[in-house]
Amino acid sequence: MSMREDQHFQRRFDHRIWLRLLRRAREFRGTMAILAVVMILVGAADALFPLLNGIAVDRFVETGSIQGVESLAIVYAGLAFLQAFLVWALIALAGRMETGLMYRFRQDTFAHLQTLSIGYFDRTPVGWLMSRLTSDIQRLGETVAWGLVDIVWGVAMMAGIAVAMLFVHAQLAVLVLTVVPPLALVSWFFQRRILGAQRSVRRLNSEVSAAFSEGIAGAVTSKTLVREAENLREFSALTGRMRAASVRAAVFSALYMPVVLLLGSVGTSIALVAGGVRLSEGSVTIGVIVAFVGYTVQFFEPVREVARVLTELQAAQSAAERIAALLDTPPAITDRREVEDAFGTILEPHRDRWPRCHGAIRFDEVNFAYPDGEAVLDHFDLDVAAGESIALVGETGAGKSTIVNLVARFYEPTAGRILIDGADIRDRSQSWMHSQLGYVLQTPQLFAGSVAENIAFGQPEADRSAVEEAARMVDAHAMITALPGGYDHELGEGGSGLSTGQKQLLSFARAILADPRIFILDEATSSIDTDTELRIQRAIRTMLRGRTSFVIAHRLSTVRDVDRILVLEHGAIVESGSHHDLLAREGRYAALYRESMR
Amino acid sequence: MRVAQSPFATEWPRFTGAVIATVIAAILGFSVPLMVQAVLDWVLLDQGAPPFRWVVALVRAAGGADAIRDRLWLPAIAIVVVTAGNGAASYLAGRWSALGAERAARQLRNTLYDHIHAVSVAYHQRSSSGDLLQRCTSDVDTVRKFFAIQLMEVGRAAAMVAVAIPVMAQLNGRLTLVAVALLPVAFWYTLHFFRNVQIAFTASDEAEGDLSALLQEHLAGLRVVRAFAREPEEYRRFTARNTTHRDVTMRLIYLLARYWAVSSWIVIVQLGAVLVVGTTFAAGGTLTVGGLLVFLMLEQMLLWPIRQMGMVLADLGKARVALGRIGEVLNAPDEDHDPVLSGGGSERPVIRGAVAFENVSFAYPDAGDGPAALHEVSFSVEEGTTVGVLGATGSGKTTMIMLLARLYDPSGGRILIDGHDITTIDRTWTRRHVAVVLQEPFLFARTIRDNISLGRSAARDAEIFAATRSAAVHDVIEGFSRGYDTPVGERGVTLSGGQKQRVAIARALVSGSPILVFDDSLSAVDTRTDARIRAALLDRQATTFLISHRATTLARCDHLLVLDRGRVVEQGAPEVLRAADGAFARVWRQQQGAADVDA
Repeated sequence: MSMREDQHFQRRFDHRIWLRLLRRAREFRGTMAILAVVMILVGAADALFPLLNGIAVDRFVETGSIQGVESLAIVYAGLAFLQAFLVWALIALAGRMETGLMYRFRQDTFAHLQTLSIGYFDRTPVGWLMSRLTSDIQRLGETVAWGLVDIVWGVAMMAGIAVAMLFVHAQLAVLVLTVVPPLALVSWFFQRRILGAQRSVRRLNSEVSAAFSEGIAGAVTSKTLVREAENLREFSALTGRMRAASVRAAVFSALYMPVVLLLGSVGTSIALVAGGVRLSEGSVTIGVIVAFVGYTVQFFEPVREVARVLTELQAAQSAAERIAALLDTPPAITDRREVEDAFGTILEPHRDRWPRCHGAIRFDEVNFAYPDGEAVLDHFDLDVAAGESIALVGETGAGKSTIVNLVARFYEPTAGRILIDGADIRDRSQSWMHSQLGYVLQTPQLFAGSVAENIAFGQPEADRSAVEEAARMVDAHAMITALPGGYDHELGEGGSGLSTGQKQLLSFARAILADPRIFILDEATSSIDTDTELRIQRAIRTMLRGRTSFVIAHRLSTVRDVDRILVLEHGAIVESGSHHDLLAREGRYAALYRESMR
Repeated sequence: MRVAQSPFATEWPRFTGAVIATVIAAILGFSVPLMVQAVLDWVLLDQGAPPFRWVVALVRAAGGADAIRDRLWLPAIAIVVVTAGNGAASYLAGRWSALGAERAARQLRNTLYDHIHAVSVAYHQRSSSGDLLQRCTSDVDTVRKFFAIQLMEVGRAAAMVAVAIPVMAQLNGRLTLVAVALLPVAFWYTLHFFRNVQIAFTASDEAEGDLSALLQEHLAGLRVVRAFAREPEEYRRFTARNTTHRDVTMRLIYLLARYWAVSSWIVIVQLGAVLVVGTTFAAGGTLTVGGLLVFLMLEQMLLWPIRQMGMVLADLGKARVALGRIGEVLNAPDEDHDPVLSGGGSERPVIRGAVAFENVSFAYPDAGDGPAALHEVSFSVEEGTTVGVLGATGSGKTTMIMLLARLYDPSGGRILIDGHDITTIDRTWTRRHVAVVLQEPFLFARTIRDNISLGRSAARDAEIFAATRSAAVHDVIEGFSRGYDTPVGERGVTLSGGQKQRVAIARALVSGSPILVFDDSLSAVDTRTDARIRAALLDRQATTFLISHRATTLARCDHLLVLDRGRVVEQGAPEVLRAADGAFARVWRQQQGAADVDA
């Protein structure tokens, strides 16, 4: 996964990706059409001004009569209001498209993420997904909405100016327009480089931010390692690169503008010389020259914008490709159509039609290998009665997590079946399965919100008394009431503000309130002082009572109470039985247990 | 921090050069319309010389208006050359301002980075890391942008107003009054708008932040969401924030749309006024055609910088606030001057590892989130002793370690290392000899090898491997596809809590420090590995402090300290304490006894 960020997609412009993404944005077709019309009008109006100047010169100045000059004023005033309105409409419409596109893509991506299997998230770093949903989608929205605006406006204005010039004086127009091809070429050349330089500035800038962030978070560690001087040396090298790249980008921009100005002045000179010659010949009026000089000044803005947008479009393409790839990632685990019809989808479950769950689980000849090829289970059989508690014991990689991941249907067997109450797990919906589960993770994961909301996470409709009862059952009530605000105490993002032990107890209360039939406990290994530890042990005993349960045991102190202990080695059960039986057998478990007590 | 004290002040020669170049560029920029005017009025229409002496001189030098009429390419080349000069000056202005701003920004970033390492741990515990990060990144960028871009804009706008208005006045005084009539309005409107629109910008940023925060939390807690089948609720929550973000941003866009509509209107009305009044004057003979064209061209050149200036002045406030916030960070005292600490010593004695606490007390100045207090803690151990520390959360175990590593200093009593009062020893010298492994160790986003050799860059592979074998993590690292060169973090492997702890232990071992401190650093390691690591540690001759909740771990130490609410309530050899009816004996029975009942 380290390669993801560096993955280079093809660099050439590929309209198919854009079309595919835009198909998702069909709701904006109307807005897009109106926007295009507005842009053409704005461009055309912009092309009108130099023409008006020329007309004013020929009509009034040259004749020396100001009769009808008020009509000029009226036209100008009318144009002022028209243009003001058009500009307003343009920004409002483009803004609506930009925010609308971002909204749509975020909704679609978020909804799609809900259908992807846990395996996908195990492989994909959170930061990668965050970048897709935040900066990539933002880039896409901006480029599509404002890029469209700038291109249509730029092209309309260039076309408008060209038409106006050709209309006024075709010969002169052709002469002046010879400046355009070199201008376009130069713009293309510079914009690519400017954009490339800006991209490396952005990359370095995020490196500098990351370095600051690491510097702040790791300040204590750096102190204890006495790394201050070396850290600064490395950081200074980074800011040095940042400075060089920033200056480079600035210098490119500083070079580009003068070159455009210079080409513009060539245009002005051509208008002046060619116009002047024709003026003495009498084929051109002074007003024509005035209009042409105005046009040569006005022509460059749109050329520059169009060149900029075209290069930006190319840069935004990689963002578009990444989003398209994310949206096209097929979920590894899906419910069959009939199952969805019967029990609903993930986002719209039909809870009322769900069957009751008793919690009998059977692994029938199950094979499992992770996508990277590492085989974990091979013809694995296991029969768990409803209400039975199972402890899984074994070294890392023995298959403990795989077994619970399969029960939770976070992964699916590569061969064989898993039966819940005698029915194939695939004949039930994922939501149904997950709703039967109570899952307590090694590192308790809470959410921003009140304590009560966190406990009611799986049962949002639960009332306060139910929440308190759940907390009492795991011996967390006293701890919660001691918090400022009690059950209404607000937690930060990820539950920050509580100790690990406190978070653990809350996650237990959350699991117990959901009243699941099947319970999965990935035992915590983090450090908790002995008193809290005892409370947690009691809470676990309460939770397991009467439920089918799987405990992934790291410390053997928890497992003495379970009905059956499975000792796993390389995906196979090597010992099975109660704590007493296994100790009496004097095998692996007994050895492990003695060792842990030493 | 004031500008005068910032690194931006030291770059004044570059900024001055840039401003001068901007002014030159503006002057050259204005000469083009005047040359066009001369060609139109004098050469083509033969209406006499324009009122600008240098233009007249230029034309005379080229042989007079009549001679030019047959050689129109001459003024054409002159226009191109002047524009080239304008371009060269603009280029220099851009280059110099960028150089000055980027050099100063780099300096400022380095200073800040150095400073966040120099301030005390107490400072870091007091301040929010997000806020500190913002001051170091976006605040620096706000100031940099001001100097790199906006300073030039102010110079340009000022130069344009200063040059254009006299030029216009020389051509026609009354038309000049018309031409500048709406400029103050355009300026004021822009200034007013950009001052007030900040609230809308902030609202949009906040909505975006809320959306990201929700997303981050959702992705981090995805397993829980799945396991509780909470997807529909999460989707609703996301939709709500996504909608808010869209609507709040749209409100900002409507404001911007209004601004650009109104300011376009002002621009067109101003240009229209110049055209209509100018046309009237020209028709009446008080203004030449060329003069009218000059007015129209200058007006267009003026309007943009005037609006820009409003924007810049609105941003000036932001830059000043940002600089002030940066100054607050830099004004925080470093460790040697922090009143919370007791100054820096300078001695660098040979350290072997005998440690003694003599009536050490500690109280954190503003209680809050700081470390727990200690009351008259005393103990003394020889070099090479393994000291076990037991105590509940908040009993002062971590505080003890922080004092030993001189991250804090005692408020009473003394700490002695090999008989030297710790406050007389150079702070970093002490830290070089005390290797600390925190319970939640911090690994840097670099390769595993780099992480392990952080404390001693010169460490050889053999030493690194020996340390990782002792920390029982060598095989794990070898198992990664790129072995020791695997980067840690998002771009490489995500290590589990136990793996992180073991890498940090290896890091401490590589440093070769005579004093090792493990703050519950084996908590996430399974019992078997725990035993292996402990066995390896015992082979070392270092003085070792082991904080743990595991009675079995503690029982193997040479000396035990039991802390309760900042006091040492028991200490001595583990066997002795086990036999006594104290806190350690109780914990021992709880953990061990429970097993023995049915074994």
